[in-house]
Amino acid sequence: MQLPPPSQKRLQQREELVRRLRELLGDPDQVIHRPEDLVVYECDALSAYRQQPMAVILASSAEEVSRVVRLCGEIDIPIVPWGAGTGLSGGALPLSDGVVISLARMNRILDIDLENRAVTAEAGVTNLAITRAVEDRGFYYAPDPSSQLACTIGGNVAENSGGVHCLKYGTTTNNILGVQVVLADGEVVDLGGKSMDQGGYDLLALMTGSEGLLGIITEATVRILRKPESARAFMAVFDSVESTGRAVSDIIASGMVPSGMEIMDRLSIEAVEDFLGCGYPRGVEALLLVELDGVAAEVEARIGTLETLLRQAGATELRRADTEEERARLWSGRKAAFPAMGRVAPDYYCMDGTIPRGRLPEVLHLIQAMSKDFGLQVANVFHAGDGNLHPLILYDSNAPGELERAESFGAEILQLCVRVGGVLSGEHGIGVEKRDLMPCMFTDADLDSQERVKAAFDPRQLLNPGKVFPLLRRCIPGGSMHVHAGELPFPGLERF
Amino acid sequence: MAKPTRSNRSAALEAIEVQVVEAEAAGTPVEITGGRTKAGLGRRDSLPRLDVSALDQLVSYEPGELVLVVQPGMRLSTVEELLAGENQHLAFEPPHWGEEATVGGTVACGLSGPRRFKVGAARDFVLGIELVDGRGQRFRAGGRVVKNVTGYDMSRALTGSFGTLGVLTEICLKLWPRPETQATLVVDGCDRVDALALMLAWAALPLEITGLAYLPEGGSPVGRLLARIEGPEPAVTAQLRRLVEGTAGSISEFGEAKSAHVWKQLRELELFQPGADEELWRFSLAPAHALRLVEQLEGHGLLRSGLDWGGGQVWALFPARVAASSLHQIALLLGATAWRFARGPEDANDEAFTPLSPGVHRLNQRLKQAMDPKGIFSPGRMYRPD
Ligand SMILES: Cc1cc2nc3c(=O)[nH]c(=O)nc-3n(C[C@H](O)[C@H](O)[C@H](O)COP(=O)(O)OP(=O)(O)OC[C@H]3O[C@@H](n4cnc5c(N)ncnc54)[C@H](O)[C@@H]3O)c2cc1C
Repeated sequence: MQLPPPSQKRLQQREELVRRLRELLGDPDQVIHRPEDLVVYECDALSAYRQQPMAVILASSAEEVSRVVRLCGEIDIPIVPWGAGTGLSGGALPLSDGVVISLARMNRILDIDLENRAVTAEAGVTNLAITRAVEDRGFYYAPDPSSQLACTIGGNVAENSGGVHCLKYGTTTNNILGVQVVLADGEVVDLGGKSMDQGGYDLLALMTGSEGLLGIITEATVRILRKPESARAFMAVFDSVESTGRAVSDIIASGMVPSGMEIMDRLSIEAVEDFLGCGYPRGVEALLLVELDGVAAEVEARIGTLETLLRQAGATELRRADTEEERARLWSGRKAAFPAMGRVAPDYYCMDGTIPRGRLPEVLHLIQAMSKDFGLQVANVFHAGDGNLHPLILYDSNAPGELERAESFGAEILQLCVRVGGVLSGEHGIGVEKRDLMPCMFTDADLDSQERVKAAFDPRQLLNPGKVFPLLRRCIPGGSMHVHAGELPFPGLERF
Repeated sequence: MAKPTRSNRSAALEAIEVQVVEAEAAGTPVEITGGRTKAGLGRRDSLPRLDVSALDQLVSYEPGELVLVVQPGMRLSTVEELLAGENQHLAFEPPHWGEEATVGGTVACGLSGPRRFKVGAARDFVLGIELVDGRGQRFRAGGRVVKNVTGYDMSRALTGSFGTLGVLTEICLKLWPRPETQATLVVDGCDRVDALALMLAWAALPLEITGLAYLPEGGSPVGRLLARIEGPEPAVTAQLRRLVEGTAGSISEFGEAKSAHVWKQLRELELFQPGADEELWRFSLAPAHALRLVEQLEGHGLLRSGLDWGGGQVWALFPARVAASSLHQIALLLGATAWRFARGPEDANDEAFTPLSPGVHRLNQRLKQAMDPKGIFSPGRMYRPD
């Protein structure tokens, strides 16, 4: 993986840069510049790629962000925005001749407006803190990435993050009303607000998922929802991953929209049982977790249909959580799947592609076949309802050649996703990780149009250069999330 | 893996590309048109038309995927019939405003109906597009799957661009299962303070309320509050019962057919057709501000108004030639945005949309410039070119 070569001219300005930044900001502690202090900012959760920036600025207001951006513009220094650094595609990877602007100190909730069902928060507020701020009144913020304890709302907007409930409730883009952004020239603008439609082009949509390339988000206004009054979870056991995939399609085709549908295969079930003993059946090929939520009367009305569908699709065993405790227990295994996998193999490699749901059986079958060809095991634990795969390729980085084999395997999986009508990334973003695979999905004309959008917002390419767009327009397989010896980045977080 | 190639060529598509290239070469602007049912939206220039109604093919429909791909000239009614056959629908409930309404026009105008406040807007259902830009270059953005973060979300950005950024040549839409049934709770003789309070309270309940509107009763200071509930029959009944219990006043219920009818009337603006000397406005705003808006509009000659989207959308009729800039000013001060509907083909509708803040306006211009450098797609449709 290559980044644009660092500019000597910029590197030579380092001291002056640090001096001017310290002058610019009230508190000198807001500028981190000593190598030993910069270690924390060497990489995001895609820790295979590391590099230190010249400085990190801990901004405390949009006005400060704007001042820093203007200074960087004046002396031609590229900027990488930084939320909590939990990104999985290297989007926040620093540039050695640039600075990082961290939004983490901007962590105030500015407005809770229950009448309009909206919360406005500074960019550094964590995803979970928004729900925490309104849950005593019965509300919550729907997108729930499993990193929600740590990741910021600004990072969520920048990545258009999802979660286990996006099948029914959508991803970040479907749940935000407005943002305040500092543009590449330092101007502060508001896009959207509390009204459901806005004037002009939908620039909020472009900002969502822009991975820090179009502007620095300093505030977000999100839509909050009332907690559903009922949530019921089910577990169905199947004798093949393929038939589990078919069950998912059948449920969708029946006219039901569960809030979540997750598949786990044999390898992950066994790993979870060894790790946690949460009561999943052993020796089975696959299981499907389904959750229905909403108005109690509606949930009750759908249970019968759901159970019939699962049986017809070939479920050999069916369990229904009747209490909140049982529901938590059913989900606990799913939530522990990633850490559990870390104990099965020295390393794993996490992919993130989306495919049409109907292609699940075929693609899962092909992945198993590829697993034999590559001589590497693969575990599947994923958001089946939206066709969002997270294959985990197991390997040992100490065994010669295994890492490279794992990487080729991963790239083949993503290309398979594109070939069956899917996409390279469902929720983790392109960053530096899948940047060079973009030409496998997009033509030159497609990429040109996107680069023009980038240039319209940031003509001088100062915001997060080297990310998302391939340096070469060739279809080159890239890397993905590596985990060694079960040492996950952010070990305290639940994983999906 | 080989680079992706696209081979969906057809005579109709080529004809459009040729027209764009010619317009670009000559530097002569055109207006992209479908069924012309939304011609009253935006500023009016009389430009030569680039008609996409010949691009009317179904590209693919896989009910199990909840995804539909069509060309833009396909009639909205044809699509809806097709989906109804599979018990699916376009959940954002797009207004037709005429039989000739096309999918392309719906997306280009970004129009959503009464269910919008519950399920999302038109743009939430556009998963991918193919487009011919102002250089005559055809490209794609987005995809055909529901969860996708690969590249900028151009599909959403094109939704509501009123044909000023490019010619949509293919649209991929997210579908939703059709609710089994519906019913509507009707509260008559409700004054507007109570009505808004009820709408705000109900919208915040964990119920499947998918329509919330307040409509005037001819000439009286009170009106009719409507709350639609959708889902399986027993659930609809149970929820209706809950709403009725806590509500005072003159209450009745509309069963499935009548309920569907009343929401269609609202979606199609049947109650807000301007008379000969009247004009129609639409405001989008934070729901709780709806009354403040209506009170201020009354100071400017408001004849009649109605609240939709639980207060988040206000329809308003005024005497013709009301001072447009004053109404836009009111909208701006409330953080709202307004549309003025043209009164007919002769009405230039110069101030069709509430002006944007200078910074946002500049960004809009830069995006337009990026997609359509010579300004050949209705350059004055949204704002006066400067
Ligand atoms: C254990 C674990 C579990 C995860 N689970 C999920 C999951 O279930 N679903 C999911 O979608 N993701 C998941 N992720 C990925 C990650 O948490 C999300 O992408 C998250 O939104 C990143 O937020 P952050 O604040 O950490 O952003 P960062 O990692 O700091 O930055 C991410 C990108 O956004 C940019 N950025 C950050 N803040 C701003 C800002 N204010 N303005 C402009 N650009 C900005 C950065 O430049 C970078 O490109 C997981 C990650 C981990 C480590």
